[in-house]
This record gives sequence, C-alpha cells and structure tokens, in this order.
Amino acid sequence: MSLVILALVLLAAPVQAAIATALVRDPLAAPVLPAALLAAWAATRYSEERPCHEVWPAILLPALVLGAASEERVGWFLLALLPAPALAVAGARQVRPRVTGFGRRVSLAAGAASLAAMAYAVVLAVAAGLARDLPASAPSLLATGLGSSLLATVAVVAFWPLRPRARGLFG
Amino acid sequence: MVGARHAAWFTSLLTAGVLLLALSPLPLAGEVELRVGAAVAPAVGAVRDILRPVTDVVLHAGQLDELAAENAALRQSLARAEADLASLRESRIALEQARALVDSVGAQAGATVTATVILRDPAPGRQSVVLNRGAQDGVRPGQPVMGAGATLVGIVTEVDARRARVRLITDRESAIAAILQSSRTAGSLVGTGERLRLDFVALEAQVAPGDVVLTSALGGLLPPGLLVGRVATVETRGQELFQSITVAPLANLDRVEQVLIMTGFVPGATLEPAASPAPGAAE
Repeated sequence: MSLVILALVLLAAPVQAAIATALVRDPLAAPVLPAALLAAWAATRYSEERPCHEVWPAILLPALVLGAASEERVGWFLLALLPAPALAVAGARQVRPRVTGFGRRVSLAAGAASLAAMAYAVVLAVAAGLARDLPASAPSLLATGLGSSLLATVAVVAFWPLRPRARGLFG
Repeated sequence: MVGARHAAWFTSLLTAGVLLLALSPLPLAGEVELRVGAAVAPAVGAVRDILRPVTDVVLHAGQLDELAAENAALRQSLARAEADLASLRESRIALEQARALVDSVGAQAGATVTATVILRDPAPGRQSVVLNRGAQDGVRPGQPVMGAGATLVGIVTEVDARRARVRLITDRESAIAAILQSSRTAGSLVGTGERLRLDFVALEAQVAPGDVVLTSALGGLLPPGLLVGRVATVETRGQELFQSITVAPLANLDRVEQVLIMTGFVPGATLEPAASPAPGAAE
C-alpha cells in the first residue's frame, strides 16, 4: 500500500511543475500538490501499527523531478519539501484510528498541507534570493496555503476508503 | 520508537538535501539535472496542455466578453477542423512562427536556429526556460534568444548536446547593457521578476514613458539594437543620483513558445589587436 503514495507523489511532480508555471501568475501562490497528498495520506492512513514512514522517501523523486525542471538545485527542492512529511506525521499523530472522525482528519490534513506549502514557498524564495520580498508576498503565501489545504481536503476524500478499519472475524 | 524512526528519516533527508547542495557546483550535477529535466519535459508539457483551458479561465477572469468572443471563434475553428489534421496544423503553425521570427529579425541576426520551449522553471523567483536545441545545433552559452517581433527574451546560460537553458530577461539574476532609443542614454537593464528596471540613468537624462529600450554593444556581450522593452514609469527622487525607471518587456514572456537563437553571435568577441610589425620589417 505504501507504494501507492510513492507513485502518486511521483506522478504529482510534473503536475506541480505545470501548475506552478501555467495555472498561476505568481509561482509563490501555486498550491503544492505533493505536500497536500502527503498530509492527506498521513491523516487518513496513520495508526500506531503503521505510522506512515513511507511519507519520508516519497519526497525524494518529486524533489529530483522539480529540481531538474528548474534552474534551482535539487537540494533546495528536497529541503523545501522536507516540512511536508514532518508536518503530515505531526498532524496525523493527533489521529486516533477508528475514533477520529472525517471532519477532524480533514482539518488536520488541511492544516498540515497549508503550513507545508507555505514552508515550501518560503524555502524556495529564500533560495532564489527573495527573502527580503517575503513580507510583501504574504498574500501569495496565503494563497499557496489555502490552495494546498483545499487539495488536501479533496485528497482525504479520495483516500477515505483506504483508511484502516476494524476487521471482523472473517474480515 | 516510532518517533525515533521519524526523526531518523528527517535527519537523513536533511543531510541528503545539504549534501546535494554542496555537490551541486560539480559539472556532473548540472548535466544530470539537465538530462532528467529533458526526460520530464514531455510529461510537464502534456499536463500544461491539459491545464490550459483551466488556466485561461483562471488567468482571464474578468474578461468574460473577450473570452466569450474567443470561445465562439474557437468553436467555429473547431467545427472546421478534422481530428486527423490536428498534428499537421500544429506543425504548420510552428513553421510559420519560426519563419516570422526569421523574417522579423532579418539580416542583423546572422546565423540563427529556431527552437521550441519544452520546459518552464517551476521554482518561485526563477524565470528560465529549457529549449529543444543544444550544442549540436550550434547553441553556446551567452547567445541571445529572440521572441516574436525580434524582441530579446533571454540569454542562453547552460547547454548540453540537445538542450539549452535560457535565463529570461526578467529573471532577478539577469542584467544586460541597454540604451534608450530616443536619447541614446545607456543604462543597465536588470530583471525584477515580472518586469525590468533600467539602472544608472542620470537625473538629467531625458526619459519618458513609452521610450523604446534596445540592447547596447557595451561589453560585447550582446549585439546592439535588439528590441527589449518600453519605459513604463519614470520617477525622480531628489536625494538620489539616478532616475528610477521601470521597463515593460515587449515580448510576452509568460507565453513564449517559439524562439530564435542567434547562434552566429559570439559573446564577448573583441577586435583582434592589430598585428605588430615584425622586427626588422621596416628595413
């Protein structure tokens, strides 16, 4: 099952490159699809037996793809994506399997995705030498956070059938 | 235990990121990135094409009348089109754009190569594109790249055998020698991300919005007289030595697809020093 999120995040990388260059005028405002997917996956799938370690290696290939598509280095993309699994796991640790409801999982995923997307934008902006312009880019940062949280919400809905469930005697 | 394993992953990836950054100056790293970039370019291009209808709605919200008219025209065009002619039509359009580029640049370009944009930089704050031409087509770092209407769009920064990366003039690391066409005042044209800024223009120089900005041959890094942009705003602050001038690029850099690379231009070429007479030649 952990291969599913690896494949999804890998497929999300070219989509992310296209979103950042085609869907928005300001790339800082682009939603961060890999971060949204990881947050939603962890919020849906986390349990103490399966603590979602797969979210960590999942960022390696998107970092390579995005770095290769960019003048910015792969290392910066890896550092920019690093808060995504960290925040996804931190959020998911609030989840109690079979107890935590849909609404709370959505809010955890949305919050983690939002913060991870803003961290992604900030790291890449700093790498590009735009640190001084960041205060003026606050609306763009809010937009990336909002967009990513919406994507995370949709992803939680999509992943909902994959959540760990109580098994019956013959289940 | 669970937390320790997460912490181990975090530390490993953080170290990997820092290591990759430390190794990035190696030529091999740039080559690998360019190759992987070329491999993912078709996928990114396909996704961009799929997203284009959404993009047009999002980016042109508020222009509903224009969109409706454009939509009607597109529907008429679509009705006439047959599916099996679509790829041929694309090829013809690309050829016409390339021919228009060559015609518009004319004799000043010397040897040129047409190229297609296959990848745009997804990183915030970076304005660069990857083209489908490389060293085997005569492309070299430093060569100027032109868009529609013979306007400068950028300069080649990296090249491999079949691809080249172009830093657009609006990139924050772009700086070129420029001159105002009307007053012949020279300045340094630097990218600001979305627009351009003309620096080092003295307070007494005559500059007005609408003035055309051209490339300058100063420094020998660009051919002179290429169109770059138009002066958008001019401000003069009493306490400063230079005017504050913003320039709007003439080319639509967000939508550039076909470009012309001036492969005949050798950046930094200087006049050969006059041959000194051989000793004793006067006798």
